[in-house]
Parts: sequence; structure tokens; C-alpha cells
Amino acid sequence: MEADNATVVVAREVTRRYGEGETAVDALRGVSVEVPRGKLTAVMGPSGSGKSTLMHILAGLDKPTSGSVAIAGKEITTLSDSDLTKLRREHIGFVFQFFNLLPMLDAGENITLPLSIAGEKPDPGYYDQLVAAVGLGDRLSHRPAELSGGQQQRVAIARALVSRPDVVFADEPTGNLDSHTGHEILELLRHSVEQLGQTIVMVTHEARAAAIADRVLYLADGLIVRELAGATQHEINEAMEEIAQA
Amino acid sequence: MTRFSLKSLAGRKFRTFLTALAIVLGVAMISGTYVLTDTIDRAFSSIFDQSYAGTDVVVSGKGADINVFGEEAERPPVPASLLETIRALPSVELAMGGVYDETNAKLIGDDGKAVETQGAPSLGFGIDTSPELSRFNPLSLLEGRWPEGDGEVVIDAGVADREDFSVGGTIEISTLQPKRPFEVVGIAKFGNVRSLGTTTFAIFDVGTAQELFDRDGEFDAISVAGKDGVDAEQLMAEIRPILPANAQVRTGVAEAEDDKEEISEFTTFIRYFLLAFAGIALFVGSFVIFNTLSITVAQRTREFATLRTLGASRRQVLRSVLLEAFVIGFSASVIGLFLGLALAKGLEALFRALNLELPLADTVFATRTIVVSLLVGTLITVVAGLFPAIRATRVPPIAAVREGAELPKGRWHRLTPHVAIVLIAVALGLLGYSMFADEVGTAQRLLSIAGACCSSSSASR
Repeated sequence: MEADNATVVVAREVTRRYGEGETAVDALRGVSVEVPRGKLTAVMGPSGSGKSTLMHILAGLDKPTSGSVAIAGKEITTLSDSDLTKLRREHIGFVFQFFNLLPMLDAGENITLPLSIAGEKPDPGYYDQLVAAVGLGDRLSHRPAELSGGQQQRVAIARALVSRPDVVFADEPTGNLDSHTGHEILELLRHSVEQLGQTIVMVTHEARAAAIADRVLYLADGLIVRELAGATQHEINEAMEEIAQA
Repeated sequence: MTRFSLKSLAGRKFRTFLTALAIVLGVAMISGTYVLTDTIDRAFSSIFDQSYAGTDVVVSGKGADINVFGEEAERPPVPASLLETIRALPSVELAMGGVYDETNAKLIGDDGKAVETQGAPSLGFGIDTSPELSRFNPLSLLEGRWPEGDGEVVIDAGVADREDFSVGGTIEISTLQPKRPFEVVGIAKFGNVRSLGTTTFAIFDVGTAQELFDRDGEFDAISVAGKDGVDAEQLMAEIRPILPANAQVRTGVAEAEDDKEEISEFTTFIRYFLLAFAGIALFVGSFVIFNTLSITVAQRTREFATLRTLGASRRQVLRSVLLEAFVIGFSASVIGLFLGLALAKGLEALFRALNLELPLADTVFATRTIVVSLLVGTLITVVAGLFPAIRATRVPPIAAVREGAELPKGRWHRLTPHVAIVLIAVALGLLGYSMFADEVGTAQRLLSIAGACCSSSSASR
């Protein structure tokens, strides 16, 4: 795979089949994607389009039936469990729909957890910058149960960014939030791309969310059917309707 | 990651406590057993050391040189005339001949039946209690006086308490002669303990004992003390040439060691008997640990998956669950260790309630007790946690994004602690019933114990 510094994730002809024989379902039927560094890429599509499967495979959570995926120039589909662990530690951050914070740790501990796991100390300057960016300075000693949904997702975003990964995968990050809070989270994601130079791949079914992306990929029936760059919410909605009618 | 494990445990304090309880009890039984048996051992050791304290060497008959199941052949008596010969030796300061029968002095209780010793010896001694020979006397009077002549006896304080004998009363004693009444002229104790468990003793004057136990013109042993500056070796060397072929001379220290050894066989038996129960308790405990950790691991599938997505290795997940098991096991063992100390006192009371009295000295808390208790409790918990820990490592990272990976809490989960407390009370009640209730069949006892196990293990969930 080409180790192009401007491209963080490269996927080629990825297919994913669930089950066998007549009941087999093709979730992905040959998808090729390149995720450019320092950009926010949104993956959209109706449910069952394969967008979640694509993200899982790009992030090394699932293995493709065929095709190849490389992150930061390294082929990941053939990695062993321990090499994948190392890859996640060094190159990947995750933001989940249900936040996935550890309930027994306070916000600060949750944020630095990836570093504790890797046995590293946070870089104080960057950590402070991050905490300021997510606006949680006074909430760091609170447990997740004492935080609102939006605050929990802020903690989760800080956690995903703390190890300065090559790419952050966000799975429906606003899916479990009200629209106002969701908006704030989207601004935070946008901010982390622009101010912190992060690369983000976000799966969403909301046009409002996709509108903050530099590029939007549309998936339908396991294939990429359209790609928009710098689209507004209105354009995204129109494209969605067209795809649904096709 | 360490903090993660510790905080996970702290977040489940109540469940952790219930889980640990099973181990606490098992370890308490181990440490309690050791403390109790060590204490008994020391009590006997000090008794024997004291009873031989004034004796440099002992002359006795030499039994056949055979050894059946650790029991030496019985020693034949030595002729009484030997006493005067020994007294005449230049290095000998004092010597005393005594009759020591270990089985044939049966005290008859008020109900006309022999006092039950539950296998412990019923000692019948004939001791010369003249004041100048008191250094050879292992007994000390609590009340009354020593026996003088036929028809008088001194009995031990333990049996006097239990069977309500007192000085001035009459007691029937059967010996090798037909049973006959004796006047209780005194009550004595052995060394510094009031009672040697269920052992009974009856002290007669030497002449009476010789008659009662068929020792006419004979002694079982002659205790000898050397003059100042004469050591035991010298004394033995001097005595040996004058002994008949079937007699031997040994140091008081060696005799004490032999007696101690006999007793430790007995305490070793009690020890293993009680440790077997501790073993069962820990066996059950390990299942409780296994169960609880399996359930918590299942409930925390999403947490472990999230840790994996954040870069935790399988080994780290394994270690975090094992660390939880270790912390549970170690703290439970520490609590159990000290609970055992209290339990030893309780067991003593239990034995007493069962009329199985044991002599006790100052409580012995040996290093071995501490090491074994902590090691066994901790190790069993960690081993029981191994399988759940391995299961936790098998959680795939993708489980972090799957919905429903977390078990929903039941409608009644708020009530769970209360239900658990009731179940534990039931379990303890059943255990108590099975252990202490009289007139209960074995089947009922076993059922109660099984019920207790079930309720405690379901409580731990």
C-alpha cells in the first residue's frame, strides 16, 4: 500500500459477507475509500447500507471478506491481535454513540485512560489545551453518571484525541443527544479538525451532522454511490432523497 | 489499569463484600484451627516441661523393642527395691518411686456410670507426696490435702467441676480391684491448667496405688534428681550399671519430649479434621468467587471491549480481572485470619459445650498460621478468578459498538441487597441449626448445610 502522508486510511475493493450460502448477506460489495489527513470525512447512508460495517473494517474492529485496508501506511487486515492492539494504541481514536465511558473513573481519568493503558504520561500542554477545547475544566473530577449526555460525549472526544491518533472514528456521535447538544458536539469535532489538525471519519445518518464534513460519502446497498465535497445541509438532503428514489 | 481494577471493585462494594465473605469464612476456619491446635499443643508442652522440671532422669521398665502404629510397647514395672539402691548412689540427691496407670482408674459418677473420657486417659497415680519430694510431683493442690493411706483420693479439678465432686465427699472408683468408695480429700490440677480436657485423674498414696493397680513391690517409674553440679549424663552413667536387664534410665527432657509427641498426634488429628471443614468452606467459596466474577465479567462486556478499543491488550484485561480477584482474596484472607483468632476462642467454647474440654494456654499465633491463611485464601480466589479473567480477554473490541452488550438491570435490582441479606441470614441460620441442634438426623444436617450453601451462593449474585 502506498504510504502517502496526505492519506491516513486507504481501503481497496473491500467486501464483507455475513453468513454463508443462500442466506449470505453482502454488507459491502467492493468499496474503495481514501481518508485524507486533517479532514473530516462523513459516511452517510440509510440503515442497512453498510456504513457501520465500513467503519468497523476501516478501524480494524472487523475483518473484510476480501480487499485491503491500510492505516498510516500499514496493512491492517492481516495483523495479529497484539499488533492490532498496538495499532489502536498509537494510531486510532474512537468516539461512540453511547459514549462508552468507564463509570468508575472520573472524567479526567477517562480522558487519560488511553495513555494509562499505554503506560504514558499526558503531555501537560496538550492535555490542558484539550480540556479547554472540550470545555470541561471544572468537571474533571465528576463521574460519568454525574455528567449530562453532551458532557459525557465531550469527555469521550477528549479521550479519543488525547493520544493524538492518526485518525478518529466517530460512530453516530450525535445519535444519542438532543439537537442542541448534538450541535455543540459537531462544533467540537469541527474544531478539533481545524485547530488541532485531527483526521476524523464520522458515520452518521443526519444531514445536519454531515454538513460539517469536508467530504461526504454516500453508501447504499454496500457500495459508494456518491461523493460530495463541502456540501451544505440542503445539498446533502437533496442528494439523500435522490439516492433513496434511485 | 490498576486504578481501573481497584475502582471497579470499589464501585461494587456490596457485591465484593458478599463474594469475599465465603473466602473470609474459609480462611477464618484455617487460621482458627491452627491457632486452636497450636494453643493446645503449647498447653501440653508446658505441662510436660513443668512435670519433669524437677526430674533429672527417670528409671523405668524397658518395654519390648517394638513399635506398633507409633505406640511403644508398654513398659513393665521395676522392683521397688531399686529405689533404695538408687538413693544410696553418691550423685543422687533425691529419688521417688511412683505408680502411674493410664487407663484403669475409672471414676464412677453419681449416676453409677463411669465418667466418660471420650478416649482420653483415666489416670491413676500413686505418688509419694512427702514435702521433701514435692519437686517430683507434677500436680499441685487447689483444695484439701494429699491422700494418706487407704481409702483417700485426690481428683482433678476438671472432673470435680463437671461431676460435682467436692472435698469431703465420697467417690467410687473401679480399678484392677472391684470398685470401692474413696473419700475425696483434695482437688488438684496438672501443671498450670485446671483440666486436661476430658482426662481424669485419681491420686492415691503409693501403697494404695500399688494394691489397686497390681503393683505390689513395684514402681512404674523412679524419678531421680542429682546433687548440685551433677548433670543428667553423669547421673545416668552412675545408675545404668545397677539396673536390672529390663529397666532403663532416660533424661527427664527425653521423657517430656516423648509425652509431647503423643499429644501432638492427637492435636494433629484434630487439626486435619478441622482443616477438612475449612477445605470444604474454601471449595464452596471458590465457586462463589467464580460465579460472581463470571457474572460481573459478563455484565462488563462493553467495558472490556471499550478498553480494547482504547489499546488495552488481552494481557492487560486478564491482569485487571486477576488483580480484582487478588484484592478480593487478599483482603478476605486478612479479615479471615483475624476472624479465625476469634473463631479459635469460639471453637474452644464449642468443644466445651460438647463436653470435650481442651487444655489451653496463652493463644499461639504462629507465623505459619499467617502465611498459610493468607496464601491459601489469596491463591484460591485468584485461581477461581482465572477462568472469568480468560473469558474477559475473549471479548472482541467490536463489542464496544454493539447495542445490548450490557445486561439491563432488572425491575427489582434495588431490592437485591435486601434479598441477599435475608438469604444470608437464612444460610447462617441453617448452618447454625445443622451444627448445634441436638436430636437432628444426619440427613437433615446435610440438607441444612446444602441449603445454606445454596442461599449464600445465590445471595452473592
